[in-house]
Amino acid sequence: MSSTTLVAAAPVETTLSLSAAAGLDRMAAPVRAAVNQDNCPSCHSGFDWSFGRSAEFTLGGSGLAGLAG
Amino acid sequence: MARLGVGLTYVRGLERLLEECGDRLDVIEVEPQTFWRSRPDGTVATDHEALRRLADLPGARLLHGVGNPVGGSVLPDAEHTALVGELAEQLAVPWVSEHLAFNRVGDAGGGGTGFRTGFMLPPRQTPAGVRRSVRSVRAMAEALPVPLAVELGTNYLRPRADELSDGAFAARVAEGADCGLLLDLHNVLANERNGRGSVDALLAELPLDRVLEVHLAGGFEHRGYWLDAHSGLPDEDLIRLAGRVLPRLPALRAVLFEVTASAAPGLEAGAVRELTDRLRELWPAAAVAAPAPLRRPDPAVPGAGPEEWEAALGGLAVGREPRTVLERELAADPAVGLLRELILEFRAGALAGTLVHTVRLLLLTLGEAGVRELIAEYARRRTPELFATEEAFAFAEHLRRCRPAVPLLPDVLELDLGLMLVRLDGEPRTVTVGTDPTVLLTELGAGRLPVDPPRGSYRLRLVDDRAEAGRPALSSS
Repeated sequence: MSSTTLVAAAPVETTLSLSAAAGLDRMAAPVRAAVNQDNCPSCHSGFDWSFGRSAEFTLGGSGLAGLAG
Repeated sequence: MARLGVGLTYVRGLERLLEECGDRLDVIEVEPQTFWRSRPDGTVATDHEALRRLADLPGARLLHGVGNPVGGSVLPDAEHTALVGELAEQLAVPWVSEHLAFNRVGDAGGGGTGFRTGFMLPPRQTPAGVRRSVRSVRAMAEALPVPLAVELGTNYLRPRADELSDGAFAARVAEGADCGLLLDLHNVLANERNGRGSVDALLAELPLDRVLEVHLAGGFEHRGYWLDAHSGLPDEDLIRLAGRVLPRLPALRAVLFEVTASAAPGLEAGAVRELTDRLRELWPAAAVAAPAPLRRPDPAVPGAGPEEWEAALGGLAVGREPRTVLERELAADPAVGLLRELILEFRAGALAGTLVHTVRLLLLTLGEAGVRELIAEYARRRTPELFATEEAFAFAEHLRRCRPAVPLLPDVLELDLGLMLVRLDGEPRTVTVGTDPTVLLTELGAGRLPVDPPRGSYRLRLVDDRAEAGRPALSSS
């Protein structure tokens, strides 16, 4: 972990900024931008890929826990 | 009203395409709801900083509503309409568009029985349904500072003997409410491919001189249906259809290509530039006069009223079991299974996008099938929310209640909720967890399950540092 992202205020008290938290997320930037959302999503009549993309990033396509990579 | 030209619908994640294709874009369409945040105090706020960044993009602006449709018996949300109206003035758009669909079911039975469907669903296409839609369109149009155009939606249901055709329904609503039309050619092509009726029959019934705007998109086949997925470039059939239809639209002012942010990474800028060039070639400087639409008398339509229709279809779409005659009849339509799947996927996507680390922890522990089952169980107990963050809060409540056997879950959930709250209103939050939060966020951020992370008492102060880089200036509704 980069020392520039987290600033320890005390041994077990830490301050974390939103941008630092985002920097820890290693999902590829374009996919992350496409997946992360806090808003009212664009609910057209099609398919939302976000969960599948998140699963693919996390599980490497196997879909199974313990087989990522 | 001047011609705006050819452009792209903006969603977050399309920045690269907009930058690389900027010289080919005459107009950028903005979906206002995607710039809104539901704050912890219940108000809805616009992310003005994100909007400000749009000012650097080329061309004119349009607004296309995606969360407040006008095709049902529940009137559109007045506060949301007012927010769109403010934005319309701010961006100086010449008109606003919304969907001729419904996404809320009224509280007809009393006692808080109303709910959101989490998806745009087709309205009851009967004379009574026309009257409800006209009332909704008028309610929104009267509250807006610019004209309103309504979009004909994708309808995966089988055509019914007791309903008006898609074209007749849209024509009666547009004429009854005296509003414009947004003709989404991918929607109508999808409807044709899915067996609802030919595009030509639809066009013959539409008042084509009311069409202000055309949308095009890409889709794909799934479970035997052509999905309006916005998943890439339009196919050649759709381009040919545009070539036939654009010259027949004398009031047409804008042609937009829609694509989801999820599909953006796979799109080449060169292909998008080529598309916009082709659309310009297909759209002549002067259109032929629109033919008078076919007029058939209103059929005598017995059967369900709009409210009963919305309750039945809405309930089935969110996963409820059929109880009434209409519900059993609708449940026999395989499109209901498709709608259920699309809505569930949509809700799962909202959770993956908000509770980022929690969903990864669940995936790493339970596997994809296990998480899907967990979300399905949640969805059976709780109807959809409009905002992704509201869905996240509700799912967090569900997790706390059902306590799945997932080590570290309470701590990771606390971290995600804390981060989300700070993102929503910019106020700092302190969360207390029993595991080293830096290890949790670093490992899950890399897609790894934390192994024996240090345990103890950790207080993490979460702060919004976006101020330096342009913190979202949130204004309340």
